[in-house]
Amino acid sequence: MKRFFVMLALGTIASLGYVSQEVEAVKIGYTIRKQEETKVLFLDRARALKYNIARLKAPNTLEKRLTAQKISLQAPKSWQTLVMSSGKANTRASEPSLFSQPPILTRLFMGTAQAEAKES
Amino acid sequence: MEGGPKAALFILSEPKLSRTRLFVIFSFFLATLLCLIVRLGFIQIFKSSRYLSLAENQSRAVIEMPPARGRVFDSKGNELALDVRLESLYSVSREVKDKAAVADKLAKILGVDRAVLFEKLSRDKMFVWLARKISPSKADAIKRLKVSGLAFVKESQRVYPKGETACHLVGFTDIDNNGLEGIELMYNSFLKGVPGWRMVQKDAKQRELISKQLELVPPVDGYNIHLTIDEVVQSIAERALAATCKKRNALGGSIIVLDPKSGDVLAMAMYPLYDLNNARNSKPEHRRNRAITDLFEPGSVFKVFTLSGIVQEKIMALDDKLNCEGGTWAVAGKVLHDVHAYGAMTLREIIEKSSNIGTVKAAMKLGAVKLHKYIRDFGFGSKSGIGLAGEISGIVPNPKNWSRSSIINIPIGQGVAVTPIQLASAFAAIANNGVLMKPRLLTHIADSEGKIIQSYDPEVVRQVISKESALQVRAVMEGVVSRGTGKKAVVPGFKAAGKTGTAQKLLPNGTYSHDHFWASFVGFVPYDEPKIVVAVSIDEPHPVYYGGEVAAPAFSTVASEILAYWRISQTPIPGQIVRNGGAKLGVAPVVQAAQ
Repeated sequence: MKRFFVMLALGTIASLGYVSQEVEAVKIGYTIRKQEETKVLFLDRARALKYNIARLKAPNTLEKRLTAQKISLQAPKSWQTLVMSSGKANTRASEPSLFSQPPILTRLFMGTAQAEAKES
Repeated sequence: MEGGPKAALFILSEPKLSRTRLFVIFSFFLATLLCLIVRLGFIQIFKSSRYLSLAENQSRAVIEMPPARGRVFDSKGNELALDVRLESLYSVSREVKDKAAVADKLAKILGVDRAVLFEKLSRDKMFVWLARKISPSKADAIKRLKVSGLAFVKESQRVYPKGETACHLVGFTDIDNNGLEGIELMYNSFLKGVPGWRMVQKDAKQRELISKQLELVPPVDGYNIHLTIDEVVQSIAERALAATCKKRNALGGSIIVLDPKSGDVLAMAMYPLYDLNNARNSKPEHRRNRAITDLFEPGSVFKVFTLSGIVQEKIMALDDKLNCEGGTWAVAGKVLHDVHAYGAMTLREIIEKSSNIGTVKAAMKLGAVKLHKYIRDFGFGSKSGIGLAGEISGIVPNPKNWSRSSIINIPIGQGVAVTPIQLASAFAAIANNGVLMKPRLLTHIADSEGKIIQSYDPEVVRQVISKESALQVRAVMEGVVSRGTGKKAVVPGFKAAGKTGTAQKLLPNGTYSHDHFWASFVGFVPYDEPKIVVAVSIDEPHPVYYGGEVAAPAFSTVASEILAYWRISQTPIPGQIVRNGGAKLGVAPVVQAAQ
């Protein structure tokens, strides 16, 4: 009789444990679902942001914005630009002998390549 | 004692009645129980599957998992087409109480007709779409209304971050994300992916029980398409084309930029443009890919192919002279004219000055059959194989069907019809030492992990003319730019080569128009080591219509900007600083590293 009651108690405890685990699993499931929804929301937002970045980087968009702001950029003249070989920054960039001088009148109104290179 | 016997009788008869009643009651319950058992047995044995499926329908659900549509990239990995997920609004109309008021509020937020919304809300249905793929701000505004019976579901929306850039090439999709034009249509089967699904168990509130997921078939996302075009080159071409068409009052036009070595299409610009994000509101004629569907008589640009045949067959040397009859020559029942009155000129000068008479005389020496062979070998009269829907073959009549005047028309680009992509491709063959390459638009197709599913390698079609012949033709084309009709195609700092063309359009009555022209220029640069072939075709420019005036400057602009963007001129000597001649779009940094 005693053994019967012990078995009954153990069985009850096991059943309760099982039910409790099931309830816990369902609860965790709800939490996972919520977090998945949040993840999807953030992924959707990330996609939208990627789209916005790509749109802002589009050459046409940039040109339109420059036009709208009346910013007229021109290709730099040969005396304004330098190209470094092998992608290594050349430490001699500021040496005056390496640059041809801009036209005399131009020098009055704008910086020279040396000045701009130093600033950068 | 009076009532004694009666009472005794009553006492004696009551147990008898009780037993009867008990028997009846017992029998009733027994019968009921038997009925229930029989019914239960019937349900368990014969109806079990039906009730089981009803129960499963209540607690289980199959949820479709849509795949992400593949993206379209340019050669530098910039996204030209991708998906974002937007909310779509639907109603369970039976649950919407004040339908008129709800329709009013929704009409204000969505900016659609109130009557249409009211009609949708009035339908006695469980599911009615009210608005699909609406902006997040509108969705938020509707959510704030807290109207019962309205609900949202997320759907993928195809978006094009570059807007108009490469619109004719990329194409667009319908509301269900099926490709309708361009790459989106041609490669729809690769892009769309395969939907997946999962079977789940739901609780009483119809919430999904993740721990009870029964079956899962994951979706397979669409493959990504990698194009050969470069978005910067494409926008350079589009900008130059739009400026030319506006300046010259043209109906439209196209500019194609090819890499002659590989046949890669670096840009395929068309005008007019349309916004891919608003494609439904564009005119169908604006959506036509002119590069593969415009059929026109090429005019003088075609003389290059006549020359190629003559040089390859060694019919004449470049310095051999022909009499150009002072600008007018009666032949085969027709009178042939030149723009200027020329006397005797060398073959080189004939092409440089674009003399019709000289070209026809030289072509007559080559003969119809050989001329036809070279035209066909350069790819005219057959599809280029670029892999876009709607490409046409063009028209190159067989010599058997040539009329008496064909030999004076065809060598100068009349009586044949070509597409811009055929022209570009054929000129690329000359720039590529006589080797015709198949125009390539895709480099590869990859899955979402980057694994290459299909690769498209450059494809040689055939060697049309020998390298030596090609070099001779190139030399003549260089003369066209430096001394001839294409002086406005000069690219500062580079030697360029090309050929101008001005062709009268054919009228419906079969005669040539004197008011409607195709202006074209096709050329390549740098002359010594061609990096790009640029084909410019302008439809009905006016009042100025000469290829050398209309199309050649566009070639110069496009070629200059592309070379500056690529910094072609800046081949640095290792370890030394060299000066730069230009920069990309005028926004390049002052000090730059060579690539």
